[in-house]
Amino acid sequence: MADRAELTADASRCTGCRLCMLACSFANHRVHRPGASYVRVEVDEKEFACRIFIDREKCRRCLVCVEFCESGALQAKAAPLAASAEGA
Amino acid sequence: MAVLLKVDLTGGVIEKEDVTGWEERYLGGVGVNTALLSDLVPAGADPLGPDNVLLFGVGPLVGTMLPTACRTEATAKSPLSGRFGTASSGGSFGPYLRYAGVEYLAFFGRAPAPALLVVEEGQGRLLEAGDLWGLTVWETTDRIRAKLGHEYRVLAIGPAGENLVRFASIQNDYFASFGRTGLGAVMGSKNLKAVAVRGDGGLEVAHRQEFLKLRKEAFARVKAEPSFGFMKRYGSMVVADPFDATGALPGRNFTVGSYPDWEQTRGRKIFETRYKERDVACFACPIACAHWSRVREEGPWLGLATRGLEVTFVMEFGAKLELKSIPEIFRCVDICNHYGLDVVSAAGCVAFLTEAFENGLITEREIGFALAFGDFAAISRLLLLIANREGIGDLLAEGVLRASRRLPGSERFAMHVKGVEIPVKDPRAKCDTFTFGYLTSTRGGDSLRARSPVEAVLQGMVDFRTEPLGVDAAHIEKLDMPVRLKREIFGDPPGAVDLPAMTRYAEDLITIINCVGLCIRPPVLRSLGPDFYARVLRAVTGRQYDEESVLAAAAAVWEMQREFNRREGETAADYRYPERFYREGLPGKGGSTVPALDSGQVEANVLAYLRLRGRN
Ligand code: SF4
Ligand code: SF4
Ligand code: SF4
Repeated sequence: MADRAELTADASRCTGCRLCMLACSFANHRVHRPGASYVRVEVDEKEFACRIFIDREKCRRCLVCVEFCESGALQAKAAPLAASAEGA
Repeated sequence: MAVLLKVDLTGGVIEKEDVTGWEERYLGGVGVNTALLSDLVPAGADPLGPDNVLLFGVGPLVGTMLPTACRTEATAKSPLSGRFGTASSGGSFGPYLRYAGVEYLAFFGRAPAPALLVVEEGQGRLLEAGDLWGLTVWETTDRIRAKLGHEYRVLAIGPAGENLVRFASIQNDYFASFGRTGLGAVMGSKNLKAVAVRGDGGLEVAHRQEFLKLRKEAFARVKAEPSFGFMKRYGSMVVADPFDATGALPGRNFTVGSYPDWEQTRGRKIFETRYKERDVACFACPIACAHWSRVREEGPWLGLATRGLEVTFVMEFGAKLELKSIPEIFRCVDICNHYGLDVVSAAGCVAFLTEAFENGLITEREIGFALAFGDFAAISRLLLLIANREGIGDLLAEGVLRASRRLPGSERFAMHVKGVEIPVKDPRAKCDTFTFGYLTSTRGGDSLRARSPVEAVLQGMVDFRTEPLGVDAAHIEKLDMPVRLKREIFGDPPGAVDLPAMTRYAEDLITIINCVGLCIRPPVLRSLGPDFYARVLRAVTGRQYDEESVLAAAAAVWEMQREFNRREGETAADYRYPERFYREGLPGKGGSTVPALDSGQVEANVLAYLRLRGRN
């Protein structure tokens, strides 16, 4: 999977919608269960701040979460050339 | 399976019941709540007594990955109107209640001491909450999470609910409110301070492939709707300027329809450029219509950070009460959120008293201080007095209808329909689905249960019974709505909008949305219709629906609400605006005046509407 893009997170853009968690858990476990997602967003509603954690060991880099991240907080960063070459 | 937790607060006993059958028949959310309320609350019950039942309902789409599928509906007999009471809230409580294995909550009786319900892993348990009584929503939520854990979602009442203010709200995730019809007071009357939920279960769908297709379709349709970008950018503030431009503001307790300095002081542009910091979404929402805002200018509010502005906030505090400063509006809304007050009714009560004061019906001595529109110190002080039921606040906590009965001569300043203070927009400027809906709503004077999916905000009426068609024939052709209704409402070929018929349809469409648990903001309201909801309900639940059967279920739910109201004494005579709208013209843009409403025309529309609904 080294040629697949890497997932990057910018929590300052996150709206706290948690669609990424629904997308990931449904894609990987066929169930809507935020707790089973490989990307985890913690939202502090009171002061409005978000924290994004990615479980890089388990993440399959399928990028479904990126597809539904309307704010651009999650993005796919192209893998470095060397890595692609390695994978190819 | 749809699970109902029946919580007997008097005896401290909790039972589980399977309500799948009810959900199948009434779709879920407000539908199931309505059926349960009609069944469980005896006629004539005191809304603040132990016989009332407080319900929370989370529809079958909530918690699945569909745009805005996050809403929870709270329902009870209203202490404000004495009729059907209900309110919807976003946030994240609903999805997590479902992840905890529960869809519906029913609270009976009255706890002997302040109580907190905790729901997790399909079970509920009651805890003592004496230490939380008297605290604001913020303090309550923080304390519960400090004790139980940050992963708990909390809904709570503030002091206003405890003090039985008849328009107290229930808040969840701090800012998201079940605002209208005083359900916070029902919760307070039951000695129930809060509900905390932790959910880590999962929700499957009946037909996965079909669901994935529909999910794609739903996101595409919502995002392609032209209102999507505007909603994201301005939130509901998008209509703040058009309402001013069309002279439809509720200024000065519905006596001024437009302000020359509106856009410069509290319009959508200044909100966006000066205060808005970032976009905030409810759970599962790609629109993110809420915004996080911060005051960066010198002055007493420097650094104030909050969620907003919403158009309701600026209409209620900026127009109805004439506050010109957005930071002052933020502060008033913060008071409402922390103390648990419905913004619309609270502002309506303050505006009512201010006008009564200006007309000499109540004195400075009786109030304790002078009142004036635009006077932040007086307005914010009154809000706190209401929440605490102190001094004159005790009278206003009863709502404008009851308060006006105790102040002879003030009835003409009590702006309500069926006892519920009316919101945000003046029907004289335009008596369209939005404002006509104040009359027909089963929860009294409110705008959120009837809104046309083809609304043309800036165009005037064609005639008193006909709205302009805000879209072209191709749009109508594609619109998700049964063909027979398109013909009935728009004509064939489509030319205009029949107001009574559209009102009935808009109410049914919004009922469907509040049953399944999506949000009624325009990108959803305008893009998804009965056919989509039928297909997605089939895919998620495996139950059989088509567009006609979901519409019929929604109409049946509405009829149950009307039946509940008839049982409590409602008649066709209650479908009436405050007298001001029939007697006074409304000063609008640039020195123009909109004439008073013709009561014969309004009544003709009401009759046409009631005929479509069947039975009065
Ligand atoms: S989808 Fe994007 S905006 Fe939404 S919670 Fe995830 S990271 Fe944040
Ligand atoms: S890229 Fe990783 S985190 Fe995102 S959906 Fe796929 S597996 Fe989950
Ligand atoms: S549109 Fe606004 S109110 Fe509706 S779910 Fe999204 S963020 Fe919440």
